[in-house]
Amino acid sequence: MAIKIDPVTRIEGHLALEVNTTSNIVTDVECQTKLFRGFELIMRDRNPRDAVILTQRI
Amino acid sequence: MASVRCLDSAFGYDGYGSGATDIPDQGRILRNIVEGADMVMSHILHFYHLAALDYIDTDTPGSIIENQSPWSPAATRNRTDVVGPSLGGSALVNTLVLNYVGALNVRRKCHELAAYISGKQPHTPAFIPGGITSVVDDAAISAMSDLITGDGGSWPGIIDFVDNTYIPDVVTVAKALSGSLLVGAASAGVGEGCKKYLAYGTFPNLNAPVGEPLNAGEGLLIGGFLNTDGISLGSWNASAVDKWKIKEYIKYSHYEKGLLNAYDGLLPINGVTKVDYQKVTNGSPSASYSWAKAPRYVSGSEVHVCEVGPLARVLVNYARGNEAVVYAVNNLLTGALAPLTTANVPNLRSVLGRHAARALECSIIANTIPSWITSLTPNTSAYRHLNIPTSSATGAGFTEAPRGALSHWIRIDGKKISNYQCVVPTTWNVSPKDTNGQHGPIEHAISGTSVATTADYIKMTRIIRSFDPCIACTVHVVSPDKKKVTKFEVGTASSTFCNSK
Repeated sequence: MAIKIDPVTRIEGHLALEVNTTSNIVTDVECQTKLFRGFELIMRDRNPRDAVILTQRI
Repeated sequence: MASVRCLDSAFGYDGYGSGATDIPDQGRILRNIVEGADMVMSHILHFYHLAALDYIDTDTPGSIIENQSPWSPAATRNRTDVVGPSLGGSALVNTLVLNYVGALNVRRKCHELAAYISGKQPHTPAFIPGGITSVVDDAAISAMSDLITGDGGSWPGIIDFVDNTYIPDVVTVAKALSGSLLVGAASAGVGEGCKKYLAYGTFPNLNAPVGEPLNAGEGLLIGGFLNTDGISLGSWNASAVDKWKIKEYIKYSHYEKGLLNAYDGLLPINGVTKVDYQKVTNGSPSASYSWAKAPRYVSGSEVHVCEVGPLARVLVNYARGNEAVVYAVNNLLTGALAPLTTANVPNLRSVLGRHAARALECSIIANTIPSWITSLTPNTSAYRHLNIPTSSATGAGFTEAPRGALSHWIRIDGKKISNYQCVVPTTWNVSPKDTNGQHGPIEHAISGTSVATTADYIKMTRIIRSFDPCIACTVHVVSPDKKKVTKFEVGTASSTFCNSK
């Protein structure tokens, strides 16, 4: 049986979980990070000192 | 902190102290205080405000939250493995709920402490390569001291809450769930995980290197790679982290693999982040299914899946003989529980072990902050200036975010950033399969869980939350066809925890 929990609540951010079960035991698991961060693209060609301010909380 | 250390390293700072290319020692200490206060705040946040509702019968008759939606999610109602009527009753539930509320105030105090240095918390403007911008005076030092150890009046101090409320509450929850804090995968059916751990260490000492993970004697928490998979405790051997063994795989992530898989398995300093829209559209399960890459610790032909976070830090530091951590593991929990002997340390590899490790670490850090505060010199600059390098330069910064090992990597060309890569803790923990098909740590931890009924689904979310994942600070993505993938309901008596398909 496939079970999907989306979203997983009370965490920071957006995560989905999809599992398959056999005889009520989880046999396959996918952790799906549901959003694109993109900081690597934002940082390109900027003043290096910007990195501290822009990426401080990741 | 990782980003500023990354720039420290790229700009050419090579130590702490008074040398011409050193970060002033005052800057190192001030950074430790800010980072420490933030980590204490974050651990309290995680236990009380994110995880605790998984462990309390929030519809306990006679309690102050009975029928108080949204306090009473259906998931925990009338379960036997929660604190509630069968375990402690309404009085204990009331205590936990009041501590939940009280924890909000303690978190504010943590932010207040750090803000004497950082100006504001979180997201401070005070971090700068070469140190920190602020100068603290006697009044600030005295105020910070009162916040952490108490003001002798109505405020008992942050340490008091951590040691006398937070740790006992973790123990209470642990007893409610199992009668013991030490729940292995076999007994509870939940959460053991990949059994390999990675930490970089943080809170550097004066002799710590710049741009490298920390080794013995170089910080309050040191780094290491520890493989406990199939290895008994007596043979645990944590090795120093080699930063060139960190690589990221993208077969199951929504990114381009490049010609002949050139973008797969790269060192972060050479990392490529290019969205592959075709992979996004195809979706799971056969193709990519995550925006997270899959970081792995690659040693020769071995590609190690690693858990990061408080449990990883505690086990790595325990295995490497870091005295503060060994003492905490062997002593802090023993008063309240059946003795935690050396033999059952491996049982910390569990859902409750993660909560316990977080609480122990919180206590270690909180109790160290006063010594940092007293070692400050009032009215002293904490910053040394170096220019942006004019020739090409690279740098790496390592720290421990509350959620685990964090590294930032930079390449500078023509005084501009030509490549910047972040390998963040949650990327390790929620990582999808790597190119060899090995599942990530949370996927490992959930595999094998028994879920006979929909009410059992809470086990899976308990496992996920024990890792304290953070996927925030990001850009949202909507599926192109706006398809509703699932329905999720809580709060009504008739609803299930979530649906299945």
